[in-house]
Amino acid sequence: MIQEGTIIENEIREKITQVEQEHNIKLSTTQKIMLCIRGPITTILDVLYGEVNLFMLDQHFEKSDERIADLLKISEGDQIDYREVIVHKNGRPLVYALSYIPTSRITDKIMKDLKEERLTTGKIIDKNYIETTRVIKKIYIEKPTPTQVELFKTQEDMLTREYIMFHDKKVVIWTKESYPLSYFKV
Amino acid sequence: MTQDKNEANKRLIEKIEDLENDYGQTFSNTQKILLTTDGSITAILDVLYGKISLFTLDQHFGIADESHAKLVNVNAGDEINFREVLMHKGTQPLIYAVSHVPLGRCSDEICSDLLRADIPIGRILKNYKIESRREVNNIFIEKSNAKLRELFKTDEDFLARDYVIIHDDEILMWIKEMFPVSYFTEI
Repeated sequence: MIQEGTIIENEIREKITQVEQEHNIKLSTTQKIMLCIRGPITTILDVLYGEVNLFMLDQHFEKSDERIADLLKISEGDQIDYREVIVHKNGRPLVYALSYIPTSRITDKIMKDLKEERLTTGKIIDKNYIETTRVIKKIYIEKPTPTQVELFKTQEDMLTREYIMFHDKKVVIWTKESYPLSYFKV
Repeated sequence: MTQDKNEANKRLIEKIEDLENDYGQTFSNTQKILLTTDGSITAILDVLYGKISLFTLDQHFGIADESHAKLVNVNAGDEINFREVLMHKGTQPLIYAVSHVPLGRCSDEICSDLLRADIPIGRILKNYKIESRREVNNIFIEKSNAKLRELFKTDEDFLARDYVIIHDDEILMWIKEMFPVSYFTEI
C-alpha cells in the first residue's frame, strides 16, 4: 500500500503548461522532456537517434552588448565567445543552439575545446569535470530567424528554451536551443 | 556538414545497447532517457505525469560496511545517511530509489533536509545551489525482491541504474533508481 507522500513542486511544468495554453497546442512527451532536462540535450538526441553530430555555424569572440552582458552578469564590453551550432543526424538538422560564454570565466583548456567543432558545450563541461548548477530561464515559441529558415527549410514556429549554467557561483554559459514545433512529436 | 563523431554519451548508449542485446528486449525512448539523463529524473516524471509525490520508505543514519563505503568512496565505519524513497502519482508507484550520503561530506543544512522526509535530492541541491556533476555508473536489470513486489504489485524484472553526484571532486551521494521493465513504454 502506498502511503501519501509529499507533492514535489516543479516550476518547469508550469512554464510548459503555460506555453501549451497560450498557443493552444499539446506538446509531445519528447518535447516536454527536452524542455525540462537540466542536462545537455545531446544526451537525449543520442539516445533517440544514435550518435548525433555537431556542425559549427559560427564561432567568434566579440564584445558583449548590454543585452548579452545582462544575460551573463558581466560588464558591457567584456569579451564573450559566440557559438552557434546545429546538432544533426546524417545531415538532418535536429536542434539549433546559440551559446554565449564569458571568456574571462573559462580556462585556456576549455577555450581550446570550444574551438573544437565536434564538442557540444555539454560535452565540454563533462570532459573537464566542471561542477555546475543549471537554471532553465525561459520556455517559449518564437518565429524562426532567416538562419533557422535556411537550416530547417521551414517557416514554422520554433519551440525554444533558454538556460544558464553557473560555476563558482557565476554564469559560465548562456544557451538558447530551438527546433521547429513539428519536430520530436513521436 | 561535418561527419565527425560526437563522443558525448557514447558510453551510455553502448551500455543501453548492450543491455538490450543481453536482455533480448528493446527499451522505449522514455525508458532510455530515464536511464541515461544526467539531470533530475524527478523533473522528467513531474512534467510527464503532473504533480508527483515522494514518499520516504526509510531514512536512517548508519555505519558504512565495506560495500557501502566503496560506493561513496569513504572508509568502512564512516557514518552514512541511508534513504529509500518511492516516487508515485496518486496510488501509482513510478520509481523506487535508494541513496547513500556520507555525513562527513554534507553541510548541516543538507543533513537537516535529508532528515526531513520527502524532499527530493535534486531539490535539496537546487535549494542550496550546490554545484555538482553526475556520473552514471551502471545500467542494468535487477530481479525484483519482496519489497519491490509489495510496492509495485508485480514480480517482473526491474530496469535500474546507479550514479553518483560529485561535489568538490568528492562523491556527495550514490543513488540507485529502479522501475519495472514494463513501465514508461507507452508514454
